[in-house]
Order: sequence, then C-alpha cells, then structure tokens
Amino acid sequence: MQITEGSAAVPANVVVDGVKGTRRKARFIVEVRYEIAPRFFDIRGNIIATTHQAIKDQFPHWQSDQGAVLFGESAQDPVNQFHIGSDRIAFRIEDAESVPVWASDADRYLGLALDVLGKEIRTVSRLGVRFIGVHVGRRTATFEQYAQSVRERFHKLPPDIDVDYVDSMAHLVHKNGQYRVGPVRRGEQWLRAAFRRPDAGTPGVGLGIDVDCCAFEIRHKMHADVLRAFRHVLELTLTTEEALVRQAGLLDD
Amino acid sequence: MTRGSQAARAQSSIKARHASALAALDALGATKAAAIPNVASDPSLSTRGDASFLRGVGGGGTEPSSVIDEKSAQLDETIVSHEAPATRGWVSGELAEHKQKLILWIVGTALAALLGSYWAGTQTAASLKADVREMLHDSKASSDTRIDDLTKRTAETERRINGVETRRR
Repeated sequence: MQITEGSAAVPANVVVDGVKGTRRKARFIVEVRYEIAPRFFDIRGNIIATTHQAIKDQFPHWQSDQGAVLFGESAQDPVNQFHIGSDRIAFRIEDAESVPVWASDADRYLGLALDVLGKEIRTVSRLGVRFIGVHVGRRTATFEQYAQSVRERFHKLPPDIDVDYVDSMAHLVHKNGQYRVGPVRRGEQWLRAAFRRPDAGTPGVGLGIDVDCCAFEIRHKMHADVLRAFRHVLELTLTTEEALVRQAGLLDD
Repeated sequence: MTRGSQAARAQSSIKARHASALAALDALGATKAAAIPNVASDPSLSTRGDASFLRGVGGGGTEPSSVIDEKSAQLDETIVSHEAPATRGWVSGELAEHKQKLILWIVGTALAALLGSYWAGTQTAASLKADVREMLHDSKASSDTRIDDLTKRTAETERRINGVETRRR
C-alpha cells in the first residue's frame, strides 16, 4: 500500500517511522494495565505452559513470582521482557530491528497474553506506548550544541539572569501522556535509568527523547479492540517523537 | 520542492496523523483519564504494599522495565525456568550465611548486655562467667531452631521447583 506524504488516512496497521534515520539507541515498550485479575494467581502454570512454547526462540527463560510471569532472553536480568501479570501485560524490547518489526511482534505478544488472560480482563484501564531513544543529527556534534538546541527550542529562558547553562531537560505532561527532551552524553545517569544496556550502541552525545503516550478505559470485548487501540497509541507516540525531533532541528541538519 | 515546503508538508502530515489517532481513540472512548482509579489510595486493588507496585498501576507512566527481577531476591515465591541446582545453590549458600550471622548476632547482643551489667556493678565476675556459659548454650539452641525452620523452607521451595519442572515436562 502506498502511503503518500501528508496523508491523514494512514491505515492503523501501517507504521510510518519518520525518524528512523536519527534514532541510534532505543527501548520500545507497550504496556496494558487492568484491574487485578484474581484468576491470574491460579493460572500461572497454564500461562507458562501455553505461552512459552510459542515464544521460546525469542524468550528462552521465564521466571514467576506472586504477581507476574516474566519471559526474558536471559535468566539473569533480561534486557528484553515479555511480562504477563495480575495487573498488566508488557512487551519491552531494546534496540529492536525497526519500529514496524517491533509493532508486529507486539501485536503477536499482546495477542498471546490476551488469549491466555482474555476472559479475566473486562476493561483495560491504561494502554501505554513508550519510546525512549537517543537521536543524533548529521551536523550536530557536541553536547553543547544539543544543549543549546534544547534551550533555544524547548525553553523560554528568563532574560534577567546571566548564568552559564550547562544542561537542561524539558518535561511536559499532557492529557494522553508525557514527554521529556534533553541533551545526553554517554555515561549519564539518565541512560542508565532508561536502558538495560546503556552503553551498547549509544552515541557519545545526542538528544534524549522519552515519549509516553496512552489511552484509558478501553472496553475489552474482543482482542481486536485492544490491538486497535495499541496501533492508535503507537501512532500518537510516533508522531510525538517525530514532532520533537523536528522541533529540535535534527531533521534540518 | 524546496526544503522549507518539504518540512511544512511533513509537519502537516504529523499533525494530521496525530489528530487522526486521537480521534480514533476518542471513538473507542479511550481518552477519558478521569475514570482511572487511583490505586495508591485504594488498598483493595493492591496485593502488595510496596511503593513500586502502587506507582505502577494508577499514577505512573509506562514502566520501562519489569520490577520482578529486582524483587526476586526478596520473594520466597519466585520460581525460575533455568536449572534448579543454581537456585538450590543459592538457597544453601544463603543458609550457611544465615547460620553464621545468627550466631554472631545472638552472641554479640547478649554479650553486650552482660558486659554492660558487669561494668555497671550489678554483676560479679563469677556470675558473669556463668551467665556467658549459659547464654552460649541458649544461643546455640535458638539458632538451631531457626536453622531447622530455614531448612524446612528450603525443602519446601525445592519441592515446589520440582513440581513446576514436572508440570513443564
């Protein structure tokens, strides 16, 4: 299907990633929350038995505690996680091959979790899609250049004080989520908090962008309702991320 | 097409896509944040009292990673898919460490109390010696009881791990 630039009618199953050229490091997360499903506590073994077979290639290990079953690519401290819990389902991937591939996997994983838990979830209280990434421009090369860009394009500074700004972060919360933008350099605490492998593939300096968009109170009559909502929230996250990258001037480089 | 007009078209595309996604969510009735229960103030929705759990459901954003692995070390209930001997090794090692710590703690606390009373003049050297001897005997009995308890819990954990492995097979 041909997607023309400027078209508003992008079908829900088509993912347009306008900033794949600037994104160097990323963690993509989809999380579905619901009121605690009490039967979860009885069916943990069933969840593992029915789900693990289908996902063993990507997630060979699992662990289970009172509140959740967690599938991971390693037994200790997994980077990529598929989480089925009493109150949430989450699929978290670091450095995915691409957004469309991740989105397609997320569809599949959410479907598997809803298959095994579906009847227990009547309403999804919150569905969130969060993209945490480090973006770089072709000509922006130093931390100070990124910091200056953020100051000029995301802050209105008080003119009456004469100080040497060294760092900043814009954090805005809106009705459907929140975002953060700030300059970042390797070794920073923000990277360690955002990523499980903060040094792998991370550029020396860049623009850290954390976008979390969400929808609320999705009636769950069919899996398709949740999957449709996921695609719409993904679109919110993608467009917000692209708008921020554009605002920072990285696509003008 | 100039760079400026390309940028303008791209911006209008983003705007239209964003508005379209919001409208679609509205149509699903999925943008009404006010209906979300505040779990932090509703203990009936919580099965655990820890703050991270409360933060996760109601007010917090999408969690970037699971908290289960951080909690595992504290939860007796954690069962893992990888080989059980590793888990058993951890439990056994922990047991030995517990035993040493328990004895040291009991002996240390009691000695401090006895020496305190000796220095305060409420106890003679002879009675102090007798008390220390008795205290060492009691602390051994007390730590043995705790060790028995830990051993039972270890056996129970192993039994459950074996049960899960059997179910998986």
